[in-house]
Amino acid sequence: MIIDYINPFVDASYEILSQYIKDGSLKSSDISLSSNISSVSGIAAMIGLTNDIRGNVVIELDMETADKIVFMMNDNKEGLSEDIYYSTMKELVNLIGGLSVTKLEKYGFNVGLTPPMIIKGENVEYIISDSEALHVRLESSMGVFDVLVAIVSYKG
Amino acid sequence: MVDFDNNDDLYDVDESGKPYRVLIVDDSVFVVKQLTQFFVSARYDVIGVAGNGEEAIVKFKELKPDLVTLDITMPKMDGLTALNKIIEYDKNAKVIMVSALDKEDMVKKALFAGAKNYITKPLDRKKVLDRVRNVLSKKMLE
Repeated sequence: MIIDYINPFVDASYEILSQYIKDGSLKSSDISLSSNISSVSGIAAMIGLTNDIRGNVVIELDMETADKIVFMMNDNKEGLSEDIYYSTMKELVNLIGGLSVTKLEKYGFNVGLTPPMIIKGENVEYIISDSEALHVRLESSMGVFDVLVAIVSYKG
Repeated sequence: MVDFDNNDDLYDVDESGKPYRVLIVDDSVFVVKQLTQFFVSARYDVIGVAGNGEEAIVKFKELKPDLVTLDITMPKMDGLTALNKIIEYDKNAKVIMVSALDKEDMVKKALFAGAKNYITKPLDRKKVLDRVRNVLSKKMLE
């Protein structure tokens, strides 16, 4: 697990989620190392990092929290289709990935992103990457957001 | 229900008084919905949607829109490749890049390739419409 250059991901997650959780309740509660296999009960949105840094970024939420953030990102509109629901979750991780990559540019890295993907279910195990991931837990009035960052390699 | 924007519609219709015709290119249904709402609320006509670069080129040639919003990270063909092909076909095409990536080299690449503006996500209605109006007003002055 490469833990250099993790801060841009943590900061980006906080900044993006803060735009939707505006009551000031969002705070980082725990940072730890986790295995490269994660188990999600709810929904996980994953995006890949390419070019100078290779790895994956995942955001995991339980369904109740996912419902709330999706609702908020869609201007509190109800009756969203499944398409819109999953697309909103993908966009959330895309925004976090995009801002992280922008921040990484300041360290001289040229990083690209893959299209995001969704994993949904109860106790669904999935492989984040070939190595351990850094697990950042963000808590808020809306619920808990678990951000996992696995950097497999970087040019440098 | 759509909330129409009555504040500043100066550039929201073309020279003949018709709504500007917009092609939205993005693989995210969420972003397409968001942009469509922004455009419809300001009385633009969203004439087409494409989910990747290849489809964007086909729809651009077929629909000849006044404006294209073009995402960068997409499957099959990315937005920068599609931009080059669109500009090759029509050097006056009004293309605004829309991306979560705010990387300096990417912005430069897009602008050098002929994009008229670059909007970074998350999208905000005012930010989008201001940039769109700016691009379209330049068209009116040409």
